[in-house]
Amino acid sequence: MAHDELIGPTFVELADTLVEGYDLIEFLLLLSERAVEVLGVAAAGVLLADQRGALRVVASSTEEMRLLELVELQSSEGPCFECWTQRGGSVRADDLTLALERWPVFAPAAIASGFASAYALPLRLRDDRLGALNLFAATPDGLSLDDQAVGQAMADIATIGILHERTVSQHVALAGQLQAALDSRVVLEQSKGMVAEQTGTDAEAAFALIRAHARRSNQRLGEVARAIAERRISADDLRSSPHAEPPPG
Amino acid sequence: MGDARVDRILGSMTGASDRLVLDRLCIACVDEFELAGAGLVLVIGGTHRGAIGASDERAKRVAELAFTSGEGPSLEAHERGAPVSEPDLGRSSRWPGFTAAAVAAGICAVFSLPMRIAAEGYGALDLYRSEPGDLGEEVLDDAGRVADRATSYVLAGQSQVPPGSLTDLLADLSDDRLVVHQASGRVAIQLDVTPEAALVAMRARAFAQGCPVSEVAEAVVAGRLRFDREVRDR
Repeated sequence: MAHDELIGPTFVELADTLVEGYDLIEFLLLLSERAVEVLGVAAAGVLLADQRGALRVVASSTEEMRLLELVELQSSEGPCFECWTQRGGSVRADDLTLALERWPVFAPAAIASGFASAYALPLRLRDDRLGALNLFAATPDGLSLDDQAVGQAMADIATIGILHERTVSQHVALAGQLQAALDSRVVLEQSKGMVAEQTGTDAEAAFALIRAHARRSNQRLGEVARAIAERRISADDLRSSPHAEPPPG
Repeated sequence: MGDARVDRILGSMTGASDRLVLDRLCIACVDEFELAGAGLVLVIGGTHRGAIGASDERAKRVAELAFTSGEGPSLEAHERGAPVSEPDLGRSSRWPGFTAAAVAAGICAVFSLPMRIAAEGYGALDLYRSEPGDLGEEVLDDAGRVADRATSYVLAGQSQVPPGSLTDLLADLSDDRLVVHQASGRVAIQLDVTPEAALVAMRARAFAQGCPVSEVAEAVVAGRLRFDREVRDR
């Protein structure tokens, strides 16, 4: 039975956690713990698909839950695995003793751990499937349809949190690429100026020296440029190299 | 009202080439917010990378001023992650270097909205007026949404090109700065300092002469200006 008085405050708390700079794993752990309290189930956990589409356990309210979820993944059976493979519908097993044929490995393991019913609710937004929220209860019929609706709302909050985190990571990665591309041009130009000044030539001749050194020493142009800008290589090093090509002009 | 106005401004981006799309956005801001100019300044890795968009040449020069003087509304909005308003530049001592040059260019009020996505800052949208006075909360809110859109445009562009390369717009921007960085390499040797410290010396010089850093840089690269001789002569 759901503890109705906890629903409102829990949703506020989860939404509050989804502010700038939150930790995703911490958020999903909080969600699992609150699912147990609010829905009155014995254990809850979140499984997410990785980049190659394989499910992984990311958060569980108890260690026992985590081990059972690993059993699910290893045996490719159980509510969460089924929820994932059947493209995002919810899965209910109100009495695990009736599911021994359906899940020959998972059901006995879950019963041995003291669970009597098991449920999986999808984490998805439209066509974007991310994983599932697993709920295990100590009694049969551990999750009414009303409670399932509350659980699904919690799963939806998790979905938003995960998608938000992925968007942020994508932006940080793109900004990093942008900075690297801009900075490599800056450093190359600085090194050209430095070598030109040291050798009394122009930027073009300096660039020829830098490029020749990069080829000879089998380094990337950007590495050599950075070494020059940081004074780890001097213009003398570039010129005194035995196979130095004379700069054009 | 705000929604329709923001929609019209964002609509100006439709169909424009990568090199012009952010200029168009700034021009639309000038029309819809009744400004004297608008400019978008890109700040990545704590470095002012230049004006990625401007309504006109004057706005571009004012937006670039923050690079020469190392201060100004765009850098402050970027660093604070919050809008910055200076409705009367003539009575303000907030950014001495920036303000003197901006007022000389006929700008009397500036407002700057940070370009941000999820707690990360990428620069700012500057709004310029030729007369003192506030812009009002509603305009600042709308302008904030325009700044957000510009930010996503820049980052989305980076997802379209292979790592290590830049979009046309940013490649041009970077090319504009090449002479400055080349010159900072020369000055680094002349003064025996890092290229970053050399750039500071060049900025100080540009500020003292009231010209853009790029002019100082061109003189250095052409050999008309040396920093070591200058120091020795004193």
